[in-house]
Amino acid sequence: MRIYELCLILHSDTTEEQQDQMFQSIADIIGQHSGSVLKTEKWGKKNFKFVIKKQSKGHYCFLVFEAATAALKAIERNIMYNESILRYNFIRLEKFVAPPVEPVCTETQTEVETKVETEVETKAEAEAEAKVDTEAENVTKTESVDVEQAPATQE
Amino acid sequence: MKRAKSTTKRKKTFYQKRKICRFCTDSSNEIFYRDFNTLKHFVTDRGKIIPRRISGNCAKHQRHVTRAIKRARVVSIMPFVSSTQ
Repeated sequence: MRIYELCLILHSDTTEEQQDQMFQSIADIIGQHSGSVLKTEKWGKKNFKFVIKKQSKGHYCFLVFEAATAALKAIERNIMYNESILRYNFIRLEKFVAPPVEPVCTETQTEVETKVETEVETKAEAEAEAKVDTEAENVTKTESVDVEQAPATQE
Repeated sequence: MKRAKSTTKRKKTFYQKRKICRFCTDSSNEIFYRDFNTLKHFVTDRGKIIPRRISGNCAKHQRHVTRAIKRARVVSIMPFVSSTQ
C-alpha cells in the first residue's frame, strides 16, 4: 500500500457534477482494491502554460489516495479513453502532507491585504519623516560647532 | 623584453558572498510540484532551470526543486519553453 496523487486535467466544458462523478468512479475503483481516498481538491478553471490537445484552459482536479499498485492500472484503464480528460498524471508521495497552496484567491482577500499595506506604509512614512527632522536638527547643530572650532585650530 | 615577474604574477582575489540555501535555513519552505509561486524563483524567463551555483540551493534541495519543476511541466503548471516575455 502506498500513497499516490492523481492529477487530472479536465476539459474546460466539464461541469461540477461531471467532475464529482469522475471522482466517484475513481473512488469506487480504489475501494475495490481495498484502498482509500485521503483527499480531493479542485482548483477550478486555470490557464495552461502550453497548449494541451488544442485547449488552452482546463479544470485541475487532484486526488490523493492510498492503494496497492494494481489499483493504478485499473484507474488508468478507466481514464485512458475518456475524452473529457486532457491529461492525467500519477505521482507517488513519500508521506501525506496537506498541500498548502491554492492559486485561486478571492477579491475580498486581495482588498483586505491592500488596505493593510497602505496603513503600514502611511505609518512608516510618518515615522521616517519624524526621524529625518530630528536628524536634520542634529546635523545643523554639529555643523555650527565645527565652524566655530575650525578657525581656532588653524591659528 | 620580458616583463618583470612581479607585474605578471598579480593575484586576482574574488570575494563572493556564500549563498545560503533558503530551504535549509527555513524548514517551513516546502518544495511541492504544484506550488508555482516558489518554483518560479528557480526558473529563467525562458523557463530554463537555474543552476545551483546561481540559485544558491544545496545539492539536496536543488534535486528536489528540479524534480518538482519537471513534474509541474508535465501537468502544464510550469512551461517547458516560454517564448513570450
